[in-house]
Amino acid sequence: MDRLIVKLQKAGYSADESVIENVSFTVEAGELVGLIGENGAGKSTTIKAILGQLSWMEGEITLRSKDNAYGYVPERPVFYDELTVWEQIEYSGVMREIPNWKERAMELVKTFRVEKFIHQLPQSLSKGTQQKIMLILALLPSPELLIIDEPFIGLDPRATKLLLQMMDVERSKGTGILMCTHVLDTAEKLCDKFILLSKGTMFTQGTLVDLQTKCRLPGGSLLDCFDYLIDEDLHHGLG
Amino acid sequence: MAWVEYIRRNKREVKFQLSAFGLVIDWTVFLYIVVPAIIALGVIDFQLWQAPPAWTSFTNVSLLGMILFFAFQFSPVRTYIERADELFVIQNLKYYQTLIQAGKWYTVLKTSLETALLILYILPIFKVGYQLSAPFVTIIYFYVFIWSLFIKLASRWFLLRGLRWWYRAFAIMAFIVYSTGFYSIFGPYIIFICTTVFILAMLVFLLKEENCPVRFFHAEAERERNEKWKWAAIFMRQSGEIEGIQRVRKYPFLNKNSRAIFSERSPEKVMTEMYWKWHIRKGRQLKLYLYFLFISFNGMTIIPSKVKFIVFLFILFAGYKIQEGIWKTFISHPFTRNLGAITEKEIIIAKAKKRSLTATWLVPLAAIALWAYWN
Repeated sequence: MDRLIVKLQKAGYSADESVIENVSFTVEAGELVGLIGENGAGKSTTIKAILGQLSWMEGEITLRSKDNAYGYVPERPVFYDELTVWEQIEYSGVMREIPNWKERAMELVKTFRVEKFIHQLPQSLSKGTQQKIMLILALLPSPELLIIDEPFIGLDPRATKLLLQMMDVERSKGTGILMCTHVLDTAEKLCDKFILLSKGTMFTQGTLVDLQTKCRLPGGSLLDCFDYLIDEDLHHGLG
Repeated sequence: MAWVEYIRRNKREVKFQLSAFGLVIDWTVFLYIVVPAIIALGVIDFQLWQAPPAWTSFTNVSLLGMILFFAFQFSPVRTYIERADELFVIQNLKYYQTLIQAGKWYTVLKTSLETALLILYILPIFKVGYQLSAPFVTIIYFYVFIWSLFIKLASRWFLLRGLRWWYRAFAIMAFIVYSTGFYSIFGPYIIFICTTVFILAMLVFLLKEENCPVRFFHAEAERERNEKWKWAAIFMRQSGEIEGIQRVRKYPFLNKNSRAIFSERSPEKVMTEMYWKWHIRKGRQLKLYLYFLFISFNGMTIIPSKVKFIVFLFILFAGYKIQEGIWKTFISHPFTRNLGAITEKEIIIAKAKKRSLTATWLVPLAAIALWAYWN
C-alpha cells in the first residue's frame, strides 16, 4: 500500500521560476526510500513541496496515512527558542491531538536518553541533542509516513545506531520512510529504493540492483552508480 | 579622506535604516498611522500654545527636565566601523583615529539638532505653562544638550571596555546628578555651575582624539553591528540575520520545570499558554511592547483632553496591530508549520488568538483607557 504518491510537474517559489521539474515516485508501507542528489539538486525543495510549504506547485501529492499525519525531521533543528523542550513536546502532542501523547513522549525521551534535558531551552543543547528532540517530535504521533532530511548530521555514533534501530522498528510497523541524505554508504545499506535528483529533475529511480544494471556496474556501490549516472546525465545535457 | 569615507558610510547607513523601516511602513501604515500621528503632534503643539496643560500648574518644571533625561537613550554615537576594516583601515592608525573622531563630532552636531527640535516642540510648555524667559530656555537647551552628548559618549566609553555593570551604576548616578543640576538651574546656582563645569570637562576628555583606538576595534565593530541591526532585528524577528555571541539561557526565568499555567490542557489553552510564555520570554519583543505602553500612558497623561479620544483610538489600533503581528510570528513559526495539521485547525487557532490577545492587548489598553478617563 502506498503511503505517499508524488507526481510533481513543476514546483518552486514563484510561477515563473520552477526549482524542480518532473519528480514522480511513491513510498510504500514499510519501505525506506532514499532521496539522493548533489548540493542544490532539489532534495529539500522536493520535501518542502511534499509538506505543502512551497508557494507554487503544479502536480499532485497524495498522503495515505491516518489523518494525513506525518513525522518530519528537518535538516536543521527548528524550535521555538523561548519554550522548553517539554513545552514543545506538549504543544506538538496536544495540538496534533495524539492520544496518550504523554506516555509516548516519556517512552521516546527514555529511548533517546534525554531525560535530563527536557526542561531546558533548546538553544542550550548540543546540535546532536537537538536532533534527537526533533526525532522525538517526529515519532510522537507514531506516523505512518516519516520524512527525514539529512538525519545523520550531528548525531553521535550511539545516537546514529539508535536512529537506525528506530527506523527498523517503524518500518516493521508499516511506516513508509522518505530519507534525504548525502551519506551514501549508509543509505546503500538501508534503503529499499533510491530517487536520484540532479539540477531539479529526477533522472532515475530504482533499487540498487536496478541502478547497477543501468550503469553496467554489477556489484558497484551506490556512490559509483551515482557518479556514473550524474556524469552520463551531464554529457547528455551537453550533447 | 577619512571624513569623506565617514560621510559615505553615513549615507549608506541612512539608506539601510530606511529600507529596514520600509519593511513595516508601507503606504497603508504611512497613511493610517504615520500621517495622523504627525498631524496629531502638530495639533497637540498648537493646543499647547493656546492653553498650557493643566498639569503644569501642580508639577515642577524640574520633573519635566527629569523626563528629558530618557530622551538621551536614543541615537548613540555611530562610528560606522565594520569588521572588514580589520583588513586595511586599522593598519592606517591616523585614518582610523580620524574616522572615530568624525563619529564623535557628527554626534555633537546631531545631538545639538535633536535637542533643539525637542526643546522647540515643548517650548510652549516652558513659555506658556511655566512662564520661563528666553535666557532660561536657552540655559535649559544648553544643559540638556551637554548631558545628552555626555551620556552618549560615556556609554560608548564604558561599553567598549566591557564595563556593563559599571555603566548601569553610572547611568543611575548620572540621572541623580543631572536631576540635581536641572533643579538648581533655578537656584542654588553654585550646584548648577559646578555640575555644568564638570560635564564640560568630561566632554573635553571624551571628545579628544584617542591614542590607541585599535585596542577596542572588535568591541567597536560589534557595537556598531548591534546598532546597525537594532531596528531591523526588531522588524525581522527570528530572521536569523544577526549572528553573534549571545548569552544562552539554560532554563526560562523562574520556571525550571516547564510549569503549566492552565490546569486544563485543551489545544486552545495549550496554544494560548505557549504564546504567552513565548511572548514574555522573548525579551526584545516584550521590551518594544512595554515601550509602546509606557509612551501611551504618558501620552494619555499630557495631551489635551480635546484630542485625547482620537489619540486613544490610534493607540488602540496600533496596539492591536503590534499584537497581531507578534501573534502571526508565533503561529507562522517553522516549528508549527512543520507539524502540518495544526495550521488547518482554524477554530482552535481563532479561539486561542482571542484568549491570548485579551491578556496582551485588551487588558493593558483598557487600563490605558481608564487612566485617560481618570486624567
